[in-house]
Amino acid sequence: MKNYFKLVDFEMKRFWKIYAALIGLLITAQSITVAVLSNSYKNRFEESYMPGMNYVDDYSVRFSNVTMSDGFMVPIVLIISALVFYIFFTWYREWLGKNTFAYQLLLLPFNRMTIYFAKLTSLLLYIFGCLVIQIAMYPLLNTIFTSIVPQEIRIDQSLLLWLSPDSLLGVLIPSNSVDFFTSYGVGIVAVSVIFTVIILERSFRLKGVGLGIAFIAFCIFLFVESFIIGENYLLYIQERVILQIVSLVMITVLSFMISYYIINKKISV
Amino acid sequence: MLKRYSFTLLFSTISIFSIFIFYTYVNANVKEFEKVKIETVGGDEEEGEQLKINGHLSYNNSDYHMNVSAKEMRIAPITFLDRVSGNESLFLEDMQIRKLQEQYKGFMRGKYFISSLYEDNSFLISADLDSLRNEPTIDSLTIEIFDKANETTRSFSLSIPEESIQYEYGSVEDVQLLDQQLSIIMRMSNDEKIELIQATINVHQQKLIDAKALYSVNKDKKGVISVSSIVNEDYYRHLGNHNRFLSFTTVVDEKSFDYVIDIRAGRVFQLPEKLMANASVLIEGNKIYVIDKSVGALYKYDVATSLSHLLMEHEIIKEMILFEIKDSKLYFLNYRGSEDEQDVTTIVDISILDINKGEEVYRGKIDVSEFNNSQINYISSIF
Repeated sequence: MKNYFKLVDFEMKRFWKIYAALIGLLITAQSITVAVLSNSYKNRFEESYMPGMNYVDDYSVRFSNVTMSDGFMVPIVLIISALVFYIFFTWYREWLGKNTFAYQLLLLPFNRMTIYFAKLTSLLLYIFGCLVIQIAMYPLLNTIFTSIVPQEIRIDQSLLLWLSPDSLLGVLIPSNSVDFFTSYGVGIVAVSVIFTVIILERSFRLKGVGLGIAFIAFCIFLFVESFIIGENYLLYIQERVILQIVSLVMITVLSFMISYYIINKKISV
Repeated sequence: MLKRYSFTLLFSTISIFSIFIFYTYVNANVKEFEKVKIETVGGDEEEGEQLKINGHLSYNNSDYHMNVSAKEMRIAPITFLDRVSGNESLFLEDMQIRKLQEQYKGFMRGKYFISSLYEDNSFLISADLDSLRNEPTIDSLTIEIFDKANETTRSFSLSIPEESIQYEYGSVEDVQLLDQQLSIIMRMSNDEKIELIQATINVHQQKLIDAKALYSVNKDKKGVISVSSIVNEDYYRHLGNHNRFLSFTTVVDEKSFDYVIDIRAGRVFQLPEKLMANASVLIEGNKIYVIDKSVGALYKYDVATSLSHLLMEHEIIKEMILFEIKDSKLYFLNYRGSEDEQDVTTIVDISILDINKGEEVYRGKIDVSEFNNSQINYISSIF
């Protein structure tokens, strides 16, 4: 356990600078976007202002109108892309450079799967960190918005309304805990499959790519088969959901087992 | 050692704890709805105490199931799994099917429509249309009978006699067990014709006694038959339609006609056009009611004399939407907004008219207008 914590700490610190830069970009870009767009709404209102006129219908603006803009969403997409990149980067960087760090890492005197779980944990922590920062930014961004946009045209939105399920933010931060565990659970399964494919490739190189593709195909087959079985055997919908969850658990266990075997017996540097 | 790992420890603790706090905050927010209940506005409070209303609510753009009684409102988020598993629906028919599936797990496999099921204290019977020869035409009727006492199932298939036409599409609209004979109403169609067929089956001999077309219309007349009936409490309790009558509407050449099938007599009769000009049919047990919203009147139709009698006239019939009929009571709903925000439905008025007394016996409401960003989307069932 101690080794696991050490490795998680190690992994966190290795990507920290890039992560901090991305978070900095997120905070800056989103704050600027909210300020600029709020200002443009304010200007539009002031230019057309006539005393006694009802502006709510034509000029009303919600906080989400501002945050649905490209300037707000691009940093989020950028961070998602960076974290997807991190899934590969966290493994491949060990083999890159003059002195391949993988030698030292794999020769450490503990179960090599600890490395695997440490990498998975650090990725999850980075994701959760992003979600928390985005939620925590709501008061700041909402303050910018409310201080600029005049009350006459402003429709205030609570945090929960802002995280509406029909927006990208609502997909990333679901409005109920069950959906949170479901979506991030499926995400963990997908990452475990990708990790296994990377380990296969690192162990068997070109042959490993083929094995990796075959493994992905098998995982897809297993998941799709759970739907087909449900249909053919007239399973109840609840049984089908259980079958699909079982298929995801099987994929995860299989990924861990293959990774365990390869990382301990076959991997080469 | 802790100092060395303080960054990671702090980062992980803050991240995980914040997410936990966030969802605790979300749940606490939603829990506020528990104080909402069915409020009695007028009439007999006991009527309101017996009510249990299921529906669908939006709060902060997220969807929730709601279950309201005179004591409390229970609210649960509609999750992604609910949506894919079909648990989202709280409509009476879907709830009936789910209840049957829980009770008779083996028998109910692959059975999704309440109209193709019959249930009484002894049997649960299913009728399903299919093709015997694996062809696109429907030519067989499979009957499955579950004996509740012995917990045994027997099934048999029967050929549907093809006379002049072959049917390509078919659905079972009603199943009833009458004096050990099964009556099955089927809606059959092909590109040219739509027919309502009644099949009578001897259950013991597993034989088709009779199959006759009760009504047919040619599609070149742009005909559409839609069979409808309003479910009642008896329907819910036994999960089988024990009504003597089944109403259906036909639209031929863009003109609609209302008919009633007398299931026991095996005949169809048309309701007088004069009576049906702005009205719709309600069936409860062996009674046929006609409700005319335009004048706010409820009539009882007598099959023997083909005459209708005015039972009551009430503003409620005109103003509100009829939702349910059970135990000779009509349940009406009215969706509206609050005075501050009229465009968003936050209040549902409930009114109960007693057919026998000829008056409104209860008036109540469900009001969620005090919760910002909330909206009642629809009521799906009343018990």
